[in-house]
Amino acid sequence: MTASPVSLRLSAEGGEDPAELEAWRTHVRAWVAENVPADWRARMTGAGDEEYVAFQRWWMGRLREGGYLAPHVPKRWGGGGCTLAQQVILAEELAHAGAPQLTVTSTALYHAASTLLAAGTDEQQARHLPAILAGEIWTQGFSEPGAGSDLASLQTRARREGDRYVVNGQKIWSSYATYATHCLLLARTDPDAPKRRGITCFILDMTLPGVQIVPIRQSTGEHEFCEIFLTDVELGADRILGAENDGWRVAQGTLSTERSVFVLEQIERLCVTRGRLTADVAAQLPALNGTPAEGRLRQSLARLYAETEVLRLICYRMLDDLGRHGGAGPESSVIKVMFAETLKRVDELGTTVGGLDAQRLRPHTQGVNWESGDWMVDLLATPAWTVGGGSSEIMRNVIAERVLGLPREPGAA
Amino acid sequence: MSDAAATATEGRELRAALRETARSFLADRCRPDVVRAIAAGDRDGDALWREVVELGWTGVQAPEEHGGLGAGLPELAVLLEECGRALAPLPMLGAAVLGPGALLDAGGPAAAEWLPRIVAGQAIVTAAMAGADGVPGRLDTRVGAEGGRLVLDGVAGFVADLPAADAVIVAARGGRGEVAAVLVETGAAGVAIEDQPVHDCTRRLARLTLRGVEVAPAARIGGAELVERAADRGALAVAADGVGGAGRVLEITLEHLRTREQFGRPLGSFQALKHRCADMFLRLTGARAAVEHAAAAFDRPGERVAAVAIAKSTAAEAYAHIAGEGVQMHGGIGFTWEHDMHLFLKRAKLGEALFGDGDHHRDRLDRLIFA
Ligand SMILES: Cc1cc2nc3c(=O)[nH]c(=O)nc-3n(C[C@H](O)[C@H](O)[C@H](O)COP(=O)(O)OP(=O)(O)OC[C@H]3O[C@@H](n4cnc5c(N)ncnc54)[C@H](O)[C@@H]3O)c2cc1C
Repeated sequence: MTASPVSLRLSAEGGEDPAELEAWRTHVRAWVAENVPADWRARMTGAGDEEYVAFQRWWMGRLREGGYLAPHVPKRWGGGGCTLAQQVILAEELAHAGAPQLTVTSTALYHAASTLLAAGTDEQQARHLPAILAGEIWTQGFSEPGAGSDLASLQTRARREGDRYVVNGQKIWSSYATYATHCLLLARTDPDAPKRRGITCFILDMTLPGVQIVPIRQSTGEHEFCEIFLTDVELGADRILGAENDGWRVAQGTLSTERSVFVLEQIERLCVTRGRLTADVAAQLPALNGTPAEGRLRQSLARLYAETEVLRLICYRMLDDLGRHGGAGPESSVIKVMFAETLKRVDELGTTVGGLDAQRLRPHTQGVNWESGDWMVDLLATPAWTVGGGSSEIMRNVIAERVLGLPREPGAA
Repeated sequence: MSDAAATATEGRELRAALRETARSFLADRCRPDVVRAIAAGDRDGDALWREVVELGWTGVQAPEEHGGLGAGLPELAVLLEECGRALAPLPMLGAAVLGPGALLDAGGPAAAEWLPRIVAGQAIVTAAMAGADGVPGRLDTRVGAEGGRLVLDGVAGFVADLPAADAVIVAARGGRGEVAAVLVETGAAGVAIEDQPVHDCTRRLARLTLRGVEVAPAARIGGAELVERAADRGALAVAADGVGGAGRVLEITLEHLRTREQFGRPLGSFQALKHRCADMFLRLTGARAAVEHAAAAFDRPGERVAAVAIAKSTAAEAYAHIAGEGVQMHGGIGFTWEHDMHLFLKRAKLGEALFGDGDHHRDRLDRLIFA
C-alpha cells in the first residue's frame, strides 16, 4: 500500500519527503505486526475491570517503548513528536491491524495533554506531561446534573480565598474517574460575570480531601462513568489552567481535540468494523437466497460502505485544512455528527443481521465502545458518540448557526 | 342498533374495561422496581403471576366451557399492550398467547385436556414454531413414525417461556417434508431445555433439544396451518407489546422534555426535538392502527397474513425507533442502568427480531402483492 493521499498532501505542506514517509509506514507496520497480540480480543472477552485496566496499562507501555504513544506530544515530554502526516499513517496502521485502543488513558493522552500543551504553564507541563505519558489517568469534570448540553450554565463554585480556591459542587458522567488521579475541572469563579466569562479550568488532584467518587452503572452493564462530589476542596492558584475566568475558551480547545487525528483513527477503525459487518451479512445471504430481503440487506450494506468512505474523505479534507492553516474548517462539526450516526447505523445493521442470536447475552470486550464484539452492546453504547462531547442535536445547532449563519433559537444563549 | 353494531359496541366496551383493569393492576403491582427484581430472579414473580391468572389473562382466548373469557385476539392484544407498557416480566407469550391459541386451533382432546388447566394457571403450554435461529419457516426439527409412536429429533431456538412450560407444541418436518405440530411434555425423556439469556431481562427464552422423544400419534395436533397461525399469533403479540411500550416511552420522554431545562428553556421547547416527538407519535399511531386491525382480521379468511405482516413490521420497528429516540433525548441519564429507558430499548430490540424481523414480514407482503 502506498501512503494515503492525505499523508502525501500533508507531507508536501510540511516539506516532508514522500519516500521518508513510506519508510515510516513500513517501520510502523513491522512494529505493529510484531507487537499487537493476535489473541488480545479473545483474552479480553469477558474480562473484569481490573484485568481490563491492567491490560490497558500493559498496551500503553508497549506503545511507549515503541515510541508510538501520544504521537502529537513533543518528544521532550516523552511523546512521539510526529508530524501530522506521520500521525495519520500511525493511526491508519494501528486501526487496520485491529490494535487495542487506549480507552482508560485517552482523556489523559488526548484531552489533558492537548489542553496542557495549549494552555499549561511550563511548570504544569513539566509536572504532568511526562506523568501522563507514563500512564497517569485523567478524567474530565465538565458536565453537571443541571449543565450538560448547556455546559456554560455550570454551578460548581470555586471561591477565591487568598491564594487558594475552595471548590464545592457536583460533576457527572466523568469517564474512568474511579481510576483517575487527576481531573480537568471546570468551575465558576465569577458568579456575576456572563455565563461563559466567569468559568475557570483547574487541574484537580483526585486524592484531595473532599473529593468523593461514585460510579454510575450504564445500560451495557459496565461502570465507566462516575459522579464526583466536591466538598470544600482546596486548590492552589497554581492549579489553574490558562487564565482565571478564561476556562470556557480552554475547554473549547479541549473538546476540539477529538476532532483531529484522533477522529481519523476512529473512522479507520469503523472501516475495520465494517469488514466484520460485511462478513456477518455474507453469512446471512444463503438463508435469504433470492428473497427481496436479501436485496435489501445488500443495499443497506452498500449504503453503509459508501457512507463510511465519504466520512473518510471528509476527514482527509479536514486534516488537509489542519496541515495548511493549522485550524479545522466546518468539516470538524460535520464529522462529529456523521461519525456518530454512521456508527449507530453500522451497529443497528449488525444487530438486525444477527437476528435473535444478536440478542443473546454473552461475554464481550469492554471499554472499546463500538468494538466489543457484540453488536447489541455496541448499539447500546452509541450514546457515547451521539450524546457525549456535544450531542448530535447540539452539533446540528452549531452547524446551522455558526457554519450556515442562521439566527440563534430565541432564548438559547 | 343492528346485531353487528351491538357486538362491536360490546367488544369496544369489554376492551376498554380490560385496559383499565390491566393498567391499574400493573401500575400498582408491576412497578419498575418489581420488574427489575423479577427480572433478576426474585421469586415474588410467582405471586404476581398467580394474580394475573386469577384476573383471567391466560383464559382470554379460551371458550367459557373451559373456564375462559371466550373473547378473542383484540381483547388479548389490549392486555399485551398493557404488559408492554409495564415491561411486565410475565410468561404471557407462552401461557396466554402461543399455547392456548394453538390448542384452540387444534380443538379435540388436546384442547379439552390442556385448556382448562392453562386457564386455571395449573399449566403453561408454549410453542416452538421455528428453527435454531428462531426465524419462522426455518425448521430444524424432524418427526418420524416408529412402531406406532411418533419420534422427534432436532432443535428449536429462542422459545418463549419454555423454562416455565409443562408442554411445548413443536413444529417439525415429517418424512415427506410436510409440517406437523406435535405436543410434547417438557418432562418427557429426551427433552432438554437450555436457557438463552438475552439483553432484554424481562423475557425468558430457551433452546429446546429433542433426542428421540417418543409421543403418541394423538400428540400430532395439527399441520402447517396451525404452525403458521401460531407464529403469526406470536408476531401479533410482540407487535401489541410494542405499541404499549412505545406509547409509554413517548410519555416518559415528553415528561422529561417538559421538565428538563437547558439554555434556560424546557428541552421540549426546541423545535429540533418537537418535530422528532411528533414523528414518534406518527409512527406510534400507525403501529396502533396496524395492530388493532391485525387482531380483528386474524380469523377473517384471507386477511391474516397481510395484516400480521404489516402490524409486526410497522409496530416492532416503530417501538425500536421510538425507544432509541427516547434514550437519545434523555441525554446522559438515558444511558444509565438506573433509568428505565434501556429496559424498553432492549425489549424493543428483542421484539424486532422475535417471530420474524421486519424484512421477513415484508417478504411475506411482497409475495402477496405480486402473487
Ligand atoms: C458516554 C458518555 C461519556 C461522557 N463523558 C464525559 C466526561 O468524561 N466528562 C464530562 O464532563 N462529561 C461527559 N459526558 C457528558 C456529556 O457531555 C453530556 O451528557 C452531554 O453534554 C449532554 O448533556 P446531558 O446529558 O445533560 O443532556 P441534556 O443537555 O439534558 O440533553 C438531553 C437531550 O436534549 C437535546 N438538547 C439539549 N439542548 C438542545 C437544544 N438546544 N436543541 C436541540 N436539542 C437539544 C440533547 O441533544 C439530548 O438529546 C459524557 C456523556 C456520555 C453519554
